[in-house]
Amino acid sequence: MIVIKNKRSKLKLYLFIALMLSVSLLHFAIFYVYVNFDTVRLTFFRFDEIENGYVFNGFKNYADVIRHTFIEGRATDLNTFLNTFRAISVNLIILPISIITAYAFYKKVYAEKTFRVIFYLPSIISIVVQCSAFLAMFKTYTYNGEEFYGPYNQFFRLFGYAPEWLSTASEGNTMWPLIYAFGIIAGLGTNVILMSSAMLRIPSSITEAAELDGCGFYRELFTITLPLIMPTITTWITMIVTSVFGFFMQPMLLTEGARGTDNKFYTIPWQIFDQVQNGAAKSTIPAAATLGILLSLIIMPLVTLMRWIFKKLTPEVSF
Amino acid sequence: MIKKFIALLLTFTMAFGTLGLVACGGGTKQSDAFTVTYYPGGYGNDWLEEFVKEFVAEKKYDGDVSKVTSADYKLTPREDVAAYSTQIMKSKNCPDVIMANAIKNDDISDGLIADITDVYNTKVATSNGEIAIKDYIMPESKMQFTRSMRPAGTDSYQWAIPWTAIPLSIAYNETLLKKIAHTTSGNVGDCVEDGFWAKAPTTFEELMTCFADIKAQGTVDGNKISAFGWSMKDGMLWFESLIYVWWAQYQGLDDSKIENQNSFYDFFNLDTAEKYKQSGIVKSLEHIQEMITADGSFANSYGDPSALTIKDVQPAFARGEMVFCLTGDFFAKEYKTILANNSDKVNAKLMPVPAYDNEHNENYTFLNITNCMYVPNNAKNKDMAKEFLAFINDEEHLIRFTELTGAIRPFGANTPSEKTAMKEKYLAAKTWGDFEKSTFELYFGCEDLVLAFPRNYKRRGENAEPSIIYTYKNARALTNDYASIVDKMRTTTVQKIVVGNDDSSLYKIAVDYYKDLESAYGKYMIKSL
Repeated sequence: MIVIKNKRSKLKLYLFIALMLSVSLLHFAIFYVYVNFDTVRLTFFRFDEIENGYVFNGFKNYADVIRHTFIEGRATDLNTFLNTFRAISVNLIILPISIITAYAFYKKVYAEKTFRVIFYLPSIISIVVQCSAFLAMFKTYTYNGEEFYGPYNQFFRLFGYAPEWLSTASEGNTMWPLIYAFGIIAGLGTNVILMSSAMLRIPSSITEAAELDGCGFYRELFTITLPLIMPTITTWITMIVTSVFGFFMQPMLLTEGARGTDNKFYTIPWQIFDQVQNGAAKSTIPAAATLGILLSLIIMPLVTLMRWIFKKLTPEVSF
Repeated sequence: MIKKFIALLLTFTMAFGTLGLVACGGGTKQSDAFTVTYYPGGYGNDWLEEFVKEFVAEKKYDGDVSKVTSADYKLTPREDVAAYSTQIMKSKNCPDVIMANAIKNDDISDGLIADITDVYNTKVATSNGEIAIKDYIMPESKMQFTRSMRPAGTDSYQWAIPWTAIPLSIAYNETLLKKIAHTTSGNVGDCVEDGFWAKAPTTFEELMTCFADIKAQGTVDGNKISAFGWSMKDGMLWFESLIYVWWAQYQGLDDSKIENQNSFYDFFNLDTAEKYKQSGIVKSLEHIQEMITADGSFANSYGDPSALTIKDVQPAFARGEMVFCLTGDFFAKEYKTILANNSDKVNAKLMPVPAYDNEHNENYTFLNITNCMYVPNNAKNKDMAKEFLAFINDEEHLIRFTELTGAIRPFGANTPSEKTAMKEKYLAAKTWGDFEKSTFELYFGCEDLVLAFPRNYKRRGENAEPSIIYTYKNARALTNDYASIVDKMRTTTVQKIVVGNDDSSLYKIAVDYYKDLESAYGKYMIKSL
């Protein structure tokens, strides 16, 4: 505890605290308060080319998105909306895999350390590089009239399964499974580490006692390990729901920028990315802001609901 | 003691962090070098470096190029220069000249780009004496970059100058074509000699016969070949050359051939969604449908177009794996090495778009004229930059540009006699390959140019500028989602895709789009003739 001897020291201390806090507060004010406030503000404006500025547009931006997506149910808008939520399903598939893998590491399976490194590799390699390598595995190459296939493409052909894996046409049904597969491979590493860390915190006395009582590998997982790491899983479930906000790199890179017929592969974050990147940025920014806010309005109650449900289901654990 | 040390450490960290941020904003001190940030495209940068060195030599060393060092100039390639032009121009290291593949309207409105009207008034040396650039440049190209600072403004300025104009069309491999036997029925005109294709098809009907022959034959010299290369993953740019030419031929370029409908160029006034009902749109897309689809699948195409990008297709064409491919004048330069390695089986040429039919057969060429150079207002050497833009526009530099790139800049060929004269000059500049010669023919030999541009507004004799929608929205005629149109062509009619009652038809989307624009800018929109 700091003992303040005199007024000058007190002043110095307060100055020091103020200085230390000022950076964080400034950061918070600019990158959180201002950015979010301005995003909300822009949703009520449109860019006027003649005034070269934003003019009030009421709720029209919201009305347009709602009308196109939910009332008229335009295929392009509806597909974009629904695709966005595929991020949740990708992560729900990752969840059990990462728990089992982390548990295997926790139980020190053979070559556990090597596997740990291998699993973590996708997390430290650029997603662009990973996507290129992944695409090459499935691609069909034509050279001088002869066709050559990527390793996985070749493998599936041995069993007579030879679709055009990377087709973005309406009848092509392999691109989404590839996006899922890639999402799982790329997302597994971080999640395994998260789960492993939670498991490593379990006191060894508990697991030793369980083993002495004859608890097997799987029984220990389901009756001891899982209940004890439930707080981590709850947090992770919350993160799964919010993952929809960042779901665009995987489909965008794997389809090589092709949105597909009626936006078969498009997602809202990808659309926002396009709207703030293109040449007419000022005129498309309000639409991008509106999509972002609407998505938040849908996600926020969902996150709250999920947290509430999982808190009810999760036993109070402290160790 | 430890606490004091930690406090000191944190203070230093904060101080250096802040200084670091300041340093990031400031950037390094800019030298006096003449700087150009450019879009590399498919033309290489040899010409740019040569011209910049010459220009700097003239300004600093009395024309002695050998004295120019790398400290005198800096060329920075950036693929994304058009997308990030705002950030580039606002940075402390703002270049003197930006050479991009498009100009951003926001940058003009925000005053980031310098008015270069005086460059257009500068006279340059030509073989016909000194001519002001504004009279030397292709009028449409000048109009493309003439704008008020804001839409609806009455004053007009020039903001940019084109560095190339790209003729786009179908390229064909003459070596392969001559080995295709005519075995199917169908019209071949005078393209077939001794049972083999001797010339590129000149009408759509002949093209389809050629496709059928290629399909029937299947191989050349034992190698499997395809008829036509295109890719679904790319936007509509590559098909635009065909669609716009057929549309213009059917609809009428400046004057409508169809009763109660406007002409092709009237469409680009983009004043009402009703323009989407022009018959030429449906007719041209029906041709595309016939070319690339059959029985609900893609036909006549290289590989599976839905899994390809143009970067997969064009190199394959350069290797001789297909007879026809969508491309532009940059092809020979961009794929120089592949073409050299396959010279025994590839002799590529750019052909005029085959006529819609025997009645709609005007010789039109589609031209993309968005590549441009401009001067940022923030440029350190702004006057020098403007001088550079004028410097590269005399006849000598125009011809040298073509010599180094195989591409053409839209200057000095505005009348039929000027076209012939310029073509001769380009041809005489060096020994050209067949591809470049065909490019010149496409550019100079055509009857008229087809541009996605509201050319007709000038004919009204009004001072109005192109419509707000065109100038400040740069609307694509057939939406950016062209892949969907092509995909749907396999299973539905073009009529439905373009003017159907479905919410996703082009017409319905346009109705919605125009409703908003009409309410916001209606009084400023140019009405069609």
